[in-house]
Amino acid sequence: MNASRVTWHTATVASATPETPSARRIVLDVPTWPGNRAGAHLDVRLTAEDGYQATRSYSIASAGEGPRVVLAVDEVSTGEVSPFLVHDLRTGDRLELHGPLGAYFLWPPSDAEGAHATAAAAAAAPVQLVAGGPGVVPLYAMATARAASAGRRTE
Amino acid sequence: MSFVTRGFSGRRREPDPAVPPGQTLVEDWPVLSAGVTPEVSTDDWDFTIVTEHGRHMWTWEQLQALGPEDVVVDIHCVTHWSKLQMPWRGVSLDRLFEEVETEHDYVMAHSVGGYTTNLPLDEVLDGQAWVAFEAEGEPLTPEHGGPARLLVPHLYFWKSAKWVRGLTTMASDEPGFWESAGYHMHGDPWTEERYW
Repeated sequence: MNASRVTWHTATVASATPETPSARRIVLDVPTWPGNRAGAHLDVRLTAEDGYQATRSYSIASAGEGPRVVLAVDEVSTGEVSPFLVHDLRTGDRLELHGPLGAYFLWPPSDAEGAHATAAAAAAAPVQLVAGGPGVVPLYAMATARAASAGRRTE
Repeated sequence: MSFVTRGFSGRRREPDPAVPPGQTLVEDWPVLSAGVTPEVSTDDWDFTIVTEHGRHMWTWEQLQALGPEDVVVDIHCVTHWSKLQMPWRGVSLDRLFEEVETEHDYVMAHSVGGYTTNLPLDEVLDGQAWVAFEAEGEPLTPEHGGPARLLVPHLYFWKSAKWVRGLTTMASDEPGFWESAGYHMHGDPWTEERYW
């Protein structure tokens, strides 16, 4: 279960840097963010001058307490939102976030956070994480949380 | 509290009254599943409805004998994609419930692998829900829930349980799998009942 009630947040872009030729790491300052567990996702909502809105779901590349939230967005060239996030978004821009969402695709680093007894037991053992393309984003959050919990590097 | 994000104009299409708020049209058919994809043969497939009075079961052949129908419906996933005018073939739950008596007001759908999702009984009757086994003219593949999945197109598509094997009636509304993980108990796409 989510620790905090899910709501809308105002995010300000702290930095946006190339991650791959088609993907960008976007670091957001979200003062009201309640924190999130590794593997959670969120919705990004963009509003145009005329009120038109577009909403998309993205995995979160960071874990733990706010106010920093990291996304890594891969461009879908025919898409509507990802090209804007990858090419046009600038430091200081503001956007809306809804989340954190999802309480299932999680790999808790410690027993205390275990959503499932099996997951908590498995947290003590080595795990192989496999993903393709932008699917690595939540795994990055999981590995980071795991490394922070264990007090050692995994990279 | 919405505000303008600098520089965003969007590539909007003509507003389509068939697309609920917050949704984007797709032409392909995305696959989102929790857990492994089961391979289920129709030879050992059956569908069970359990009520406060007892159990009703249909084999694959018995389900087919109830009379499949072809429907064209729009589907809406909570992850913001919609697919319009999609042809499906399946047996209406009305046909199954013709043989079932219950005073209960809710059902829990159960799937191979343990997935569950809750629905109000009166929203799976009167031509609103099917046990579907074909989509776009082809048998449902395992990744899309084959051999049979629930089809409840007026609710977000996590309610249309893949690999469905039965329904259990309930006196009160209990949360299923995603509903226990933050998703809405009802899931109406037109009022954006996405999360609680």
